[in-house]
Amino acid sequence: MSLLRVEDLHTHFHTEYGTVKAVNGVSFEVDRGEIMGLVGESGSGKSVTNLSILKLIPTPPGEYAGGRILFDGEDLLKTPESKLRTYRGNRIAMIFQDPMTSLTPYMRVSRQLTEVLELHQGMTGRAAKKRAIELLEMVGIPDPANRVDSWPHEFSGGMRQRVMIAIALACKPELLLADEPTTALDVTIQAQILELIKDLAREHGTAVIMVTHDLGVVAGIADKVSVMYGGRIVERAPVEPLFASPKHPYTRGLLASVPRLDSRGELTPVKGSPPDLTALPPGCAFAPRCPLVHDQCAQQPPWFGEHTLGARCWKEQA
Amino acid sequence: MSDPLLTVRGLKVHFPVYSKGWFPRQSGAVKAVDGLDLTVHRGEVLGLVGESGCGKSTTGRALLRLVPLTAGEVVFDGVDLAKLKGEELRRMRRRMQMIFQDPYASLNPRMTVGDIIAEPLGAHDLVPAGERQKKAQELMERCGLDPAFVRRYPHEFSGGQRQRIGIARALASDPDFIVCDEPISALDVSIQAQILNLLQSLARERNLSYVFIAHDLSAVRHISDRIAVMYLGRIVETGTYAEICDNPRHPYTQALVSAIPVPDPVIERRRKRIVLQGDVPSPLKPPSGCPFHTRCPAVRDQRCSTEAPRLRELDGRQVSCHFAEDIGDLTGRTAS
Repeated sequence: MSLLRVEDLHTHFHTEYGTVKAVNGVSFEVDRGEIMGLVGESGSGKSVTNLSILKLIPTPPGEYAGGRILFDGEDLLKTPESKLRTYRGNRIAMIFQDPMTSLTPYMRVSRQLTEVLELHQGMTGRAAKKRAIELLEMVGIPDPANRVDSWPHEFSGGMRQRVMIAIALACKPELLLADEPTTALDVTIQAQILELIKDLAREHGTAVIMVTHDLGVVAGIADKVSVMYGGRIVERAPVEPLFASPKHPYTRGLLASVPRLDSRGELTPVKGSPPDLTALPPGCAFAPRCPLVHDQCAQQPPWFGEHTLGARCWKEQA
Repeated sequence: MSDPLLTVRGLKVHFPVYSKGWFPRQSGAVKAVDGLDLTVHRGEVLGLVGESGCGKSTTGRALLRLVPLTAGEVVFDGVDLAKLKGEELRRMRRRMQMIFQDPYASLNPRMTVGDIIAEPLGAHDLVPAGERQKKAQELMERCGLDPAFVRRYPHEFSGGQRQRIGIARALASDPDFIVCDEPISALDVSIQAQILNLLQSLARERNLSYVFIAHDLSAVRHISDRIAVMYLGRIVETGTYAEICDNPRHPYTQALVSAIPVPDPVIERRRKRIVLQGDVPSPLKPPSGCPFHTRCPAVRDQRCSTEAPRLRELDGRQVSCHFAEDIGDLTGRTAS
């Protein structure tokens, strides 16, 4: 039994332009100690998937339109809010993308850390402060005993992101949802943060969902990968086969369009632009940009392939 | 390629900082660019990489004299831009253009695409008024936009299309030299390659020189002939793209290259990373001596903290490190 099992999740937003089907039937599993990369472009639904797991989508305009999110056997979509609050930041933690805006600007860093510890671990006073300093040290903030009482604005972007991670790690979560945790950071800082997340999965057995658009990051950190396009997962595979022999034309297009540090081959960009989520075609959402498009693509392709390995493309049928 | 189009010597751009109180006095300066030497040849793409805050964007702006220069010279086709004024400078600017990072903020939302692209044509009086829209349409077509959209407004276009508008505008005055400041970092992954390919084919077709500023070394490698790596307002290493990416010599370049993830799990597993400690120091109080010595994994002795290394020749590239010959490859590969 996996720690997290998402089954046919639908998250919609009702807007004046129509219903945006941001997540449109997504299923995956993550086990303890496993890192899953959730890859896609902006608007593919990867962040909404992540937010849905913690039920952080405002309703309205959002709506959980169907599916189940089984965390340790319990359906989070049916769990009462009061109980969910004891999970958030405790058993399930989240790292947001933007370190500049996700810390409270008028609270000292120490308070933001001890708040979590008080709420979920019942730690208070000196013990909580001591633990806060340990956490800052763990994420590599130099001189943590003196920096712990700083204000967020006194920290650089990389340091703020590390504070965010320290908060997320405070309760040794079983599941960590990381939403583009390194996109706003420089590469040398990114390398530090990714090492931290890897250690966490290895040492504490934390399951990690790593949302990113950076295929290089995924290649370095993930055990398995799900590729999202137009609100659906179009391909999933363990990390090696995904990069060695991608099955879905979108995955192939994506891989062929990223410049690489270790070679200088021709780039073949994916034609066109990402789809409009208010007007998804009835069939495969990638069909308008697909080089292999044919008549059958007007129908939604089902999964082809085995349980953990496969693509949603008619061409994979054979 | 031996013919330099742009030569920069000892460029400094300092932004003054004032003390608080009734009678503010200059109390210091943010040394965004602090003694920078650079050469761009005709028809060459020079990649300028570095982390945020290293001064690469300020350098790009200083090359076009869009920020006041504190010291140094910027010689463009034999003319020192630092000494030009008024009408002379304005005329020179026809030959130098810029493509900006944020395609949402760099186009006037109240102007039609045709007017945006045609504006340089009018400003420099290159094409008679009646023919400007037609010229704008030609440029749109060349940049992969449908010329029928000439009367539309920027908000009707996607990010990638807007970046194409920005490129068409930069091409309008038929420049020799374009500064591309992070032109793809705001775009979706699948769109980035479209824009990179467009920039590359335009450079070949029109014999353009670019300074291509980016933090993404993979993209820089793809498009650049030579790469210059910046750290705290100075160049730490320059060389051909292969020298910089495959066999870097400066410890900072080595760390930067090793930190960039490669989209291949098999290679990623084998790679050794040099994980730098801490953050980039503040350009308000840059460290003494070598600006990198506070984070350098190969820091040696007092010399690093007291004497600033000069950019010097080493095996066909330029490096500013006292011990570049001795440190070898810090990731433990055997140096090739």
